[in-house]
Amino acid sequence: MKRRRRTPILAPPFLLVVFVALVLGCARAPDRDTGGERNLEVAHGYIDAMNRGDASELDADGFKAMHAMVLAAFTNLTITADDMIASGDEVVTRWTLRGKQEGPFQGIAPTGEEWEQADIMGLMRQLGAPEGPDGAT
Amino acid sequence: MEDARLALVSRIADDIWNRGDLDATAEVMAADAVYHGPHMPDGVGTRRDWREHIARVRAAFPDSHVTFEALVPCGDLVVGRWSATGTHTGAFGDRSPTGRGISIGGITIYRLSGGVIVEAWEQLDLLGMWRQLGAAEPAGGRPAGKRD
Repeated sequence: MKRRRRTPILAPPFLLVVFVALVLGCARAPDRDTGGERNLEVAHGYIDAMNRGDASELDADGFKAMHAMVLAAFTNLTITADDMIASGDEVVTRWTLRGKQEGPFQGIAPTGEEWEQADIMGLMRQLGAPEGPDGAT
Repeated sequence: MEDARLALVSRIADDIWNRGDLDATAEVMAADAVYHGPHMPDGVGTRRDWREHIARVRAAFPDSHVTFEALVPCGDLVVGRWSATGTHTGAFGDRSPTGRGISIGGITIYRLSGGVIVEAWEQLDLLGMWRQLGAAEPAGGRPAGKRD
């Protein structure tokens, strides 16, 4: 797993699907120009809440707990929406999460290291957890 | 009449993964397509890397079965939310067969052009997969340290 230099990061675990109210057709808003599309605005609002470090604004308990755990372990967290697609009652966001581990996470003591990767398995590896047998996937 | 975009992406599950028709990878994806994913070399691969990945997984999990739980088309994109099952009866990397059955999920965003896939972004539960195989238990007391 190669380590790349640069900004503080964590790992963008997975693609996030946010379920919101019903719309017809589909729309994309990789940038903030939602064209007033309500569901895209809700999804952007969700990401904004995470970037403010405010898990309390989130509704679902499961999400709230997970995000509180991440927020406690990582500082300088920023989430960037790389793409956002709204269709029907779903919004799909392809995103990247960056942060610096300064608290315990899943039993891993803070490394203070800055990393970049794009998945949970990669995250655990970067934080020093065992790999799969040969790193194969 | 079914959306041609959905029909194309559905072939990935029906023909390639579930029937093992790996030649179909060349029918659904452009030769110069870009495949982003943690299971690709350095996080980004080619159509050939994708095919080799499928061959490697199907050799280790011959009963591999992929189901698209949802396919969402939007312009030149199709978002696929999928689940996959398989039984580990073949060697996987240097890991001997465990006989374990696994089940994981993932999401892939496909970008289409000219009737084929030209780019894909995929995330899947690799950690869950290794856990189900009895490997890669997360940290739990292991001393922290950076990996280089």
